[in-house]
Amino acid sequence: MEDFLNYKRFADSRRSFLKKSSLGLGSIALSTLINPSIVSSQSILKNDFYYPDKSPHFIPKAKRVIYLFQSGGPSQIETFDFKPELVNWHGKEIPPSLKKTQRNSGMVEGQSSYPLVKSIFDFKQYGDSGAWVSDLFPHTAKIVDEICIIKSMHTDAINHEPAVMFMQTGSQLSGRPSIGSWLSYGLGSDNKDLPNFVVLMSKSDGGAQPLNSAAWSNGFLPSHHQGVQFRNSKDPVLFLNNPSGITQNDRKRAIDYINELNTYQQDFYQDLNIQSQIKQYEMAYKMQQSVPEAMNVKEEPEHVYKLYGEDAKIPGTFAANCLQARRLAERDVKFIQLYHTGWDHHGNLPSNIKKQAKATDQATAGLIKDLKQRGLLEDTLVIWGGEFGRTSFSQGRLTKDNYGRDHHPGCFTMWMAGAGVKKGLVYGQTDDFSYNVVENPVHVHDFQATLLHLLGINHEKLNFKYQGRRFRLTDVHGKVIKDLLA
Amino acid sequence: MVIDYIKNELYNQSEKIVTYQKNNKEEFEVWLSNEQNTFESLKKNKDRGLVAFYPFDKFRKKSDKKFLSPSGLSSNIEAKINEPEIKNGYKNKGLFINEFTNLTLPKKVGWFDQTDPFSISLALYPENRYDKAIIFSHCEQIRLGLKGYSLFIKNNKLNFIIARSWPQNAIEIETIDPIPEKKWTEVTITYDGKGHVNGLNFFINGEKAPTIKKGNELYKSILFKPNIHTYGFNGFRVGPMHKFKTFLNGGIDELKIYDIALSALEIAYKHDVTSFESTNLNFLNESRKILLKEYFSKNIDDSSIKMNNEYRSLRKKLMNHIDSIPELMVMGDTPEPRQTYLLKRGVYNEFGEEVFPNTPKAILNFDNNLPKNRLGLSKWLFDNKNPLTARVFVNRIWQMHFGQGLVSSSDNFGSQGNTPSHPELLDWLSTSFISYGWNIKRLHKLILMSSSYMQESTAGKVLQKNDPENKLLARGPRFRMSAEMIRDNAITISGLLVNKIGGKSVYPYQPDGIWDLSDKSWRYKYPKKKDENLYRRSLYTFWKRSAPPPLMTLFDAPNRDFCATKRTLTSSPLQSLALLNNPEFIEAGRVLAEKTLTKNYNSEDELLTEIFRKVTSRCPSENELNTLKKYYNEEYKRFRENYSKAIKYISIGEKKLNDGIDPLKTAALATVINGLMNTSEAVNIY
Repeated sequence: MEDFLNYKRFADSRRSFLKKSSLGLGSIALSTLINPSIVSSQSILKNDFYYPDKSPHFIPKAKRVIYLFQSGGPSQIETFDFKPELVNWHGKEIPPSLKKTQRNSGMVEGQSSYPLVKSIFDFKQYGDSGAWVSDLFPHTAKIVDEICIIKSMHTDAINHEPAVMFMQTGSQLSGRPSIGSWLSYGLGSDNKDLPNFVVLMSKSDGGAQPLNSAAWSNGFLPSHHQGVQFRNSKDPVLFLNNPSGITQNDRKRAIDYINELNTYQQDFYQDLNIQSQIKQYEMAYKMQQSVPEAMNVKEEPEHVYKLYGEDAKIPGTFAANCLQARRLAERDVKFIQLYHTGWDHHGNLPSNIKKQAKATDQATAGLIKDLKQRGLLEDTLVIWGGEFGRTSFSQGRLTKDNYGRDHHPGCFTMWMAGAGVKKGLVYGQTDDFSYNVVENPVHVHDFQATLLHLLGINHEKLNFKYQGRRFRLTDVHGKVIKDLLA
Repeated sequence: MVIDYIKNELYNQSEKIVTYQKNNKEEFEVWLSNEQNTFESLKKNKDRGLVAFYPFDKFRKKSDKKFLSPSGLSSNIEAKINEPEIKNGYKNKGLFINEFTNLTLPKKVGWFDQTDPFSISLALYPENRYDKAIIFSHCEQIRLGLKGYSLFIKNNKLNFIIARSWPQNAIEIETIDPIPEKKWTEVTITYDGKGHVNGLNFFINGEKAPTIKKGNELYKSILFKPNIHTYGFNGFRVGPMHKFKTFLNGGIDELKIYDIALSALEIAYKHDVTSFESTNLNFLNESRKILLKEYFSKNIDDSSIKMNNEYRSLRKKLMNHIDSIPELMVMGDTPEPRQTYLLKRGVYNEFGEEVFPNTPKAILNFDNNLPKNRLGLSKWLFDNKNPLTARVFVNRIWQMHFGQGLVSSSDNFGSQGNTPSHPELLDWLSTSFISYGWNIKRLHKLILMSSSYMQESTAGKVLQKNDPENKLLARGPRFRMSAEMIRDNAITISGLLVNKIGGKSVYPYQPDGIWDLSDKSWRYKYPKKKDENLYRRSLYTFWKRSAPPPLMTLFDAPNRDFCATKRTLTSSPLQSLALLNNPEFIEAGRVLAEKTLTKNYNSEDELLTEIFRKVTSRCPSENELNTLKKYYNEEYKRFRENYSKAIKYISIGEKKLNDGIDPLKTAALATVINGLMNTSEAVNIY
């Protein structure tokens, strides 16, 4: 009930805007959540084409998302999908009848044998839920009762870029809007002076699979829905800093003059769009202060760094970005997309996965704890996962302490936590080899549908007409996995 | 021109060789008359052209898994072999292959271009039947077109490929008969270095094998050249390769590499010297005589050898010329069209009914005389009776000038699109466009010089209310410039624009790190150029699709993943920041300030009016001029109080400052220009 009241108040405060935008109150659409000041579109006065015209869906459980994307495809077998039976099969050839149930990549085509491999890391059960977690993630192990582990994810794509695109845009080919853009389009912004969809990339230790900026592109949606990368450089947002010789005070005066000149132009042309432009300049000026302020992690006290780990003090690390993500969540940024690369362990998996686990585990758990202690976990959805899983058989040679695993679309593990998600649930089941899903499969489109559902959106109704077709994040697929909802 | 010339020379040379061989029979007959000659010669020339020989009889252990196998020639160094299986071979010991065995020959052994003749012989022992396996390679991975040469075994038939980029620019031969399992077979491959598949042959146990040959003449180099797209090169290799299974449990022995194309006679001789020598060469046998003739012209006849060498060096010259020309890929039709099917529910291997090329009848019947390929399609598209093409195009040009088309859904003329606001106008524009020979420039002029276009864009209260979208065209257009126009306009009014047409893509200013979505050592790095190409039109900007130019995408340029006929124009604070702070715009403002100040002006009013006109194409009102004056003087005062700030501000950009300018005035005027360039009129078309 309280949620609903909040929602109502929120909508009411947008009343004056709605009148102006000719949408009318008859149908309080999702667009009631759009904050006009930051994302106002030039054409807003002449058509409602930019905004979904669907009736309200339902009260959202989550107001914002922090998506910890683990790019490269972390192995499910060494992390969450415990397979004791693989001990018996270790080193033995994968049964051909099993092998052919999944597509394998060309990278193992040259192999003459495909020996199964057990995890080199031990597993233990944790928390009240008794979820199995490997020794790689000692910190995540301590928060298993907060998270919902999905072991039965599966995808259509077998290579990185199409698989990342599929996860993030619902299509293997780049060009469609990413999840963050859909949310920005569908829900608008809750904050006044920060972008609605922020991307943070952690620097990797070299050789990781590259990312494609199309993964945070607006696709065919208007371009103000594109993800804005907050960069670990002196210009955290592109063109944010004043040129040399110009102080913030000078900038303020300049904007006053620009607005004065714009006002004359508006009088001359009777062009109402100029009003929107004047607003953008005021907003730009505000952003010049609010972005550095939001990014100023230095003001965080020592106990916070204890939570996220020492790495959080080094800008550009995953840990620093997790801390950054919490600060952005506090400031009501709707979609905070982190990318951590380096999970593509074709060879030397034991040592390489250790490195990535070490770089991410504490900060990930720290973020969950921090959000919880601040009451933010109640309306923030946190997602952890990559674009696909890895093969049960070894890529390259299996030795006593070394092996690799190739891409595997057939099953992989992700987890969600926070707003509206069942805590301490372990969902779905794979076979004894972690090769196929045998119970409660969750396709990428199902996952996306569930994500939208948690944000109050019916995935079948959020669409955009482009080149004669109405497009959706979930294309013509996807079903909400009700079992995951609290 | 040069290419034609060399091609002509090549033709003459080949004619010369043919004529020579036709006319010079005497010398051969004389040589042939002495039986002893041939044996002596074969014996003497036994190792002619042999550049590498690995008998795999001795293996020296270097470490746990690493072995070295010495060469049979003193000039060669040892072959490196990891994890060999050493068993009895074709002669003495042989090299057998397990899953992890790999062999590499020393650098540059077997380093042949397609203009070089070469031969390779080896003995092979297939353990069983192989679907497809690689035996040896001197080439790059299949994703780089198997550039080089390589030997495969497919259903135990042998398949040899010489490729620049297989299968298009490649020649290959395959034996018709498989080689036997669990038995040694001696295989020789010969290639004459003339780029044609006819010069490529297989010999099995000393005899020429029947083969299937494929491919057109090779025209570019097949040698490895390192660049950002390659994955390194390991020379002549045996063992598994990306995407290919190894010759598992198979055996290899007696590997010999020659830098000549061996003749059939030599191969027969080498295969079994004793039986060859014991059989009396039958000189009356015509086929034997042909072999001898080939041997004679390749080994004995100096003039013939010289002529063939000249032919090859001409080919090398031709190849080097062609290699230096950047290759442009074009689409072509396959000789036989591929069968195409409806894919059920879009699944790539779920074939439904077969489909054939055709066009929608509702638009225009496809003329039966036209071929059903791309040529036919383009003829159908530009048929004067086709009602769509001209309308769609004319509508796009209209959209370009008015911000929206006469059919507002310019990407959709179908049943779900919008109907035209002025159907007769659209028809008239289209038919006149066709009747003037699809003259695009004329079409632009026609639209730009129309009274509709030339109207003022001012919308009074009434029009604003009754026709907010300007569908009735009762006023002139008003819309925001495209991303490209915004940048081009700034560098044009400042005079920085380099008005050069065509050429390669250019790299204007771009914030650091945009391309660093990868940390791979071989990643593309944005070249920071400091030349005139900083000031070319945005149309020439290099476009990396995974990290497009941020200024362009901020101002709604599509990221080119999808075809877009229309852009949705937005405004956001990030755009304002770009217009305010992008060094490109700061520099343009400064250069315009410098230029304007060098002219003689009677008053500040005149100076400011001039810059206002440059940016907005009109004269300022009194209010506007007053604002500019106030702004300019304030800025001047500010910079006077802090000289170094002025210097910093006007030093932005690669364009050098003019000598003898007044830094304070320049800085002050430049900031005012930057302000003006941020007003609505500077980025909108009115």
